[in-house]
Amino acid sequence: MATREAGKKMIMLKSPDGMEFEVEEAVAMESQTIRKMIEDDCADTAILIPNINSKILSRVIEYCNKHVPTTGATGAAASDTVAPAALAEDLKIWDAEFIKVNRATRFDLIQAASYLNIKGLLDLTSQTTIDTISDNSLEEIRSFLSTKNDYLPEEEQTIRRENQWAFQ
Amino acid sequence: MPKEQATVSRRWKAAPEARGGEGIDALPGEVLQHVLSFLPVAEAVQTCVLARRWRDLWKSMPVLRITCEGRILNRRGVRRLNKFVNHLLLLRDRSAPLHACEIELSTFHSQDEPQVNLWIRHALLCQARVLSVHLGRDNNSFELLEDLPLVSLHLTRLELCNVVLNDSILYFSSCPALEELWMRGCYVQADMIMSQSLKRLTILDCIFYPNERTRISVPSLVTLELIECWGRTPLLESMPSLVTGSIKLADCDDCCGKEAGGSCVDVTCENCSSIDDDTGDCVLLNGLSEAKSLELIAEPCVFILKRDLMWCPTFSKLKTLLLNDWCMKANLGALMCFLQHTPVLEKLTIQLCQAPSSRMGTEGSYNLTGQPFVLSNKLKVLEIKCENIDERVHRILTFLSTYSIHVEQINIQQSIGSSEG
Repeated sequence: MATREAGKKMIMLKSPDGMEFEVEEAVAMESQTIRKMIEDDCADTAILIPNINSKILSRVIEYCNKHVPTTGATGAAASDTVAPAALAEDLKIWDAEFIKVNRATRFDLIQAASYLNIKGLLDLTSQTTIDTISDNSLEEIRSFLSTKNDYLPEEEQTIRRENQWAFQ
Repeated sequence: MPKEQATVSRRWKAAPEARGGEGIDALPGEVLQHVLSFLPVAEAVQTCVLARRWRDLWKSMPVLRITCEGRILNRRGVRRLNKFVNHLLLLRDRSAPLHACEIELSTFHSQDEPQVNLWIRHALLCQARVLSVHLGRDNNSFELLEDLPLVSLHLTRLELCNVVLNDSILYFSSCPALEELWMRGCYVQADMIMSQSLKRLTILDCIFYPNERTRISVPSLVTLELIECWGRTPLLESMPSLVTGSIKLADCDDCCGKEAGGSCVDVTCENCSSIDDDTGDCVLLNGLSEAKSLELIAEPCVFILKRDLMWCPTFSKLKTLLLNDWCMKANLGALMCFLQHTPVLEKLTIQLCQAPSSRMGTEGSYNLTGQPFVLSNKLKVLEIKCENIDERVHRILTFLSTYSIHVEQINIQQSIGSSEG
């Protein structure tokens, strides 16, 4: 097991494009998927994260680094010195900056958050996406989501009739 | 180490096949459903016309957010909402897990009511783990579940806002998995809030108007917040696992005959006489006595904490304590009483917000003579937060030196326009 200063356990994460990221175990364990692997003793060496490229993986690690509960050397929570409310406010501002990314990156982050099971990041990316599309017309939503309408006109009519109760 | 790495990576579940195409279509269906669940449910259903892939996604969304987005509902609006939600619940895929159901409605002005109680029961039948019901302030006469008990083996978190709560619903013996209860602006008519499993309880801005004083019986509780409640302060029963307690009392009906200008004879004064032979005589403090960290904030007019001090228990695990102006009463008698009953206290914070009143120090006193004077010898930090360093700060410091209370570190923080407490 790789270890570094202060006895903090380190974990190596590898992206499919060959980049390696050494992160503290506590940070990696923000991902419930990785936590489970570590707890099941499946993480003796480097963990290969399939499907998530190094650019996205580094952003995910950045997020986890910020959101890992901070504990000092004595084990006292950081909230001992900073009010929890102020801490939460600080995180919120940080999140808002963090999520200022282009559409493609955001969808990649959603997928990564889902796969690695990081609830906070999944909620943040989902909410941001919804905020963008809410109150837009269907055409605008389609265009934003890059979804092609593959219904035949009569099919779409049927769907609308079927779910008429939701369009009133 | 390439060999080992290969072993490790084989242990991953196969990554879900990303779908072709750009943008959101590359996401697997279950992720799209999670994203969708952030939409108000009406809009989520409307995504069925986006493309074939979206046709049935709404049917298995794990979260339903039923909301009228702040609109005031007239009779027609209520009927339309009922029709919509009933369609939604009947037509969604019942085999898909329902994680959470959130109902958020503002005012409805009509004799017709939204069928909230029916929807709640349906959500529980679908094994929802999280249920939240937020109604508008104007509808705070809405009786939740019409005094039927909640029955669910799966419910873990319940959030209630601006509803009327009668006995049955707060008696959670049929919700053995419930861990978190959050209430705001509710009108509590129950004699008892009871749950064996509850770990976190938050009660904000609620009114307690039961026949008897409401008893809160939650023996597994870890975190308690009781903030600005009205009516009769509820009685806390024993909570052996409590870690943090935060109590903030603004105004309540509890008072002593003497303070109201009448007389107080222990036997006849409803609040000064003992409450129950089983639990001792405290309303709040007995239940809080196992906590590691406490915040006890009260307006100086609040009687119930002062009353509890007459039967003050020993806080044998308490490490941090925050008090405000009320501890200055009776020549710092309340403060002294706490220091006598907190043998392992490490950090004491006193938050002084209000300008000193000339009455301070003249009302009553606690009989301290004859009590064992066991002060915490671990008190490391005393923090005093105040707008100005006034005579109260000096009184506290003088008090400490009079009783030879040694504190390793004293911090005095001046804040301008502090409004807390």
